[in-house]
Amino acid sequence: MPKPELKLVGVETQTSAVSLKGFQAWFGETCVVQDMTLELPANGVTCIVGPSGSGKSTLLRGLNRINEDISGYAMKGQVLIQDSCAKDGFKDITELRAKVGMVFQRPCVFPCSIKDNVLFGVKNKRLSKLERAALVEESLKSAALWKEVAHRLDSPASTLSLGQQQRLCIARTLAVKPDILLLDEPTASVDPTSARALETLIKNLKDDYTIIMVTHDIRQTRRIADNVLFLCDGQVIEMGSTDHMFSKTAKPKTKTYLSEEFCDC
Amino acid sequence: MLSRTVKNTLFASALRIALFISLAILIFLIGAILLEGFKALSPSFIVSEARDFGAAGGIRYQLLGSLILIIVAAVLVVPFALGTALYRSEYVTSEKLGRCIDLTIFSLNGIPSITYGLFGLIVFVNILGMGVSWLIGSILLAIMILPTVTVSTHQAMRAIPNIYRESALALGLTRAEMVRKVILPQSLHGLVTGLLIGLARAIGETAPIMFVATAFSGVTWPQSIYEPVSTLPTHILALAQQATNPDALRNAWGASLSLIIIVMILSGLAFIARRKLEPQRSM
Ligand SMILES: Nc1ncnc2c1ncn2[C@@H]1O[C@H](COP(=O)(O)OP(=O)(O)OP(=O)(O)O)[C@@H](O)[C@H]1O
Ligand SMILES: [Mg+2]
Repeated sequence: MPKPELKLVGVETQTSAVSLKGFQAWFGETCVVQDMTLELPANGVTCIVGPSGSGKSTLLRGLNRINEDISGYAMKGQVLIQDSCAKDGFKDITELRAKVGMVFQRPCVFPCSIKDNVLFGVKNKRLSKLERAALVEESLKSAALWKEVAHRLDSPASTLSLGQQQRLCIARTLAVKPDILLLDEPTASVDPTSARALETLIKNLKDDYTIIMVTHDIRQTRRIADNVLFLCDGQVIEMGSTDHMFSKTAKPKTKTYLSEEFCDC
Repeated sequence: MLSRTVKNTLFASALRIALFISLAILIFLIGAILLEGFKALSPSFIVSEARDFGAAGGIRYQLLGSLILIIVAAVLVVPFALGTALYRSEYVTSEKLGRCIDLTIFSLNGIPSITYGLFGLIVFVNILGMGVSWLIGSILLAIMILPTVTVSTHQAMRAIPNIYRESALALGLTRAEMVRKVILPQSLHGLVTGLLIGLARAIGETAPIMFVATAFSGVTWPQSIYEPVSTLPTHILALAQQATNPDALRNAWGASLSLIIIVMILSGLAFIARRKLEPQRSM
């Protein structure tokens, strides 16, 4: 029996950036994301929360199809990115991934200079030197890293602090000009101060990008999320505006989880 | 019953004696080669032609012959080793096929070098009807060191954390672009190190090349690929067979020392390459 489509509770209808229709994800014989049908609004921050192993990363990694290289992985159903099917609505998978950028939990800079890291995914060979420099500056400024690295763009990226490295990862994703940003626990491996800096950055980016972010930090969710998607065991328990989820929800599971009490769902 | 202290002391002395014996052998060997080798080795020994079947003159064409063989072998082995390692590391998804490839490469490494010589004789001379050729020697040496170079390259590729691949793909790079921008730069040190170690071994080999690629004397710079070369190891072999002639023996030591110096240079370069080319990864 197909499930009814999940609508955001407490939010006016908005244009959707991502919509899932009967989305399922499998690893071998195990179904880790079960039959999801939902729409995520354009712009703003949507936080995906839920206990460990509930399928948050799998869901996120289904959106840019980065899971497809893992043997044993299979998906069913439809993923629509801005109304184009992720499977065949784009010229090829690289175009999809340019539209839907992703930043991982652990900052992963390439062993080259800061500048080359920013330009790593930029394929336009006709860009002049000047245009490249401008793109580097623009991306680093958007990622709130420009002031710290402007004087040493040519030094190895590995000399940056972890928090700076994570902002560099965001900068290099922005340089490809995506519309949607997928962040998988972006603050989990940096110190609290850097985490706060990243939060501010994410808040500043949310007017220009649709940000979908996995986090374990409930307080962080409260601080930066516009909408919250609560997953448990591969199923959506509830989805709604931050205000609704934290104070108006009637579902006991959501209440327990978001009040940071022990949740055995 | 011996007390524990006595046992420990005995054990420690045994270790010390073992260490002493192995060191003594090593020092004796190196000392003998240096002592005897330097009697012959001089700039003119290196640049002058061999005369009297090597008992007089130097090792000019033997040195050149050896260098031609390994340089061409290097050029031949790189594309195959790199291709195999890349395919194994980035394109094989089936666990089974991967293990098959590993096993094949592993067993290839265990083949005695004389077998390669025999293989060359049968395939190139008997079946393909080619005569003696230095190029066949290079091909055989390339085949012989293929496993070493492949394994070293593959190990470097396997050591690249998966997150680097995913990060590059997530930026919209194609698989080929990812390989070129992520995998190749971060595994170059494995390729270069493996190649240098392979060549260090290849240059000292006599067995794979002696039937098909070399002549013992009277050879100069090859005019075409259908000519043999003379090499240092075969030259040493020829000289050692005239052991009653002290001049020949002296030159044999000189040639050995030259060979060892080349091997040491190659190994030293491998050591440097490993350290200098290794990527500065942050994780
Ligand atoms: N490569 C894989 N192979 C097999 N099973 C996997 C793989 N990746 C994830 N899984 C399984 O899929 C389920 C969901 O995993 P997922 O990583 O999406 O959880 P998560 O919600 O992101 O957890 P966490 O909060 O710990 O990151 C888990 O049961 C996990 O064991
Ligand atoms: Mg996860």
